[in-house]
Amino acid sequence: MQELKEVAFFGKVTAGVTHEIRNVLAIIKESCGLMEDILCLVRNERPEPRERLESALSRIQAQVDRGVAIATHLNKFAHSTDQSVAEVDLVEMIEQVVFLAQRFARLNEVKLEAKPQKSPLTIFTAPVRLQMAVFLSVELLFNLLPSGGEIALSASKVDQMYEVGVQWKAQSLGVQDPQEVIMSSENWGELQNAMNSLRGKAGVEKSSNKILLYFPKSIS
Amino acid sequence: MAGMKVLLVDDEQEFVTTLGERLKLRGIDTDIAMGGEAALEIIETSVPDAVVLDVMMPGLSGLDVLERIKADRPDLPVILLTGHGGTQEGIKGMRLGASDYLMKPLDIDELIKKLHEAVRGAL
Repeated sequence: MQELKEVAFFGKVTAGVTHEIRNVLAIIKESCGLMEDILCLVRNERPEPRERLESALSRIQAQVDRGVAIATHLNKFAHSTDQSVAEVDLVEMIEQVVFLAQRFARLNEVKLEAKPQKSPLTIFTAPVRLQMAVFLSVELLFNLLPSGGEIALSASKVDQMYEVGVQWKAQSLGVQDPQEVIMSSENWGELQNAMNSLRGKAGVEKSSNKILLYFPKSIS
Repeated sequence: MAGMKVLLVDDEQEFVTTLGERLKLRGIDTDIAMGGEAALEIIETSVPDAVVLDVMMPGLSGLDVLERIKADRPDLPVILLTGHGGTQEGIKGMRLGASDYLMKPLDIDELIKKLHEAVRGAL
């Protein structure tokens, strides 16, 4: 119970801070916009410095857009602590994890993506633990894959269970049996604990190079 | 719709003054209020054609201000600004009578488009 309160507190503070970040970005964006407006008014005067200023302003605008995307995802992540159990769309959730794990992917020189899917797949579960389980699976592969490796996340419904697939691709892994390496790692134990608490199960499918996570429609 | 007059309401002074200046450059007359109470006072004496209202402000929240505006002047269009990544507050605001909502940071052309639509709808 204390742990849940701590997570909720962390989420609440983070969500509040992301709101402030968006306000800061909004002011930067409007200030850039105003400078662009003023440059438009002096369009025929001294074209060279004007063009350089326009170019610098467009770079700032691009970074504002990047900052907005980061703040938006961080805000969603923070709000996932609002309820200990809630409805979660698996498709949206894997996109969220992929976005939040991009920096780690870049550091590991691994390409990380979510396979595009149109229809939502909604389950009733513990949102924070669910994201943690998916993130742990991705992290397991960061530790396994060499530079240039690829990870693709997908969600689907298999019989009565809901599946998240974390598939890897690499030129050469440098290990004989990736399944054994994955399942003997410390993170695998953590993943199993998370999956047990979600009433799900995790496995490794050698034939398709996938870590598979199965979740019930409802945790309750 | 020449000569439109818009009231901008936000506790972030730099945001409203800059946005106000940009709207003026586009021929839209703007008034600024730095909070909910100030906005309601301005509306009492000088009714704008539309209000652009931040949801999250200290004191009276944007949704509180929206409710009061709609109680006194149901035809006055209000566009909400929300800093949240989600859309819940915007939808809640529309249920309370807001014409539309936009996420911060906003796109000025989109704001102007929504202002024109809202004012046309109120005529």
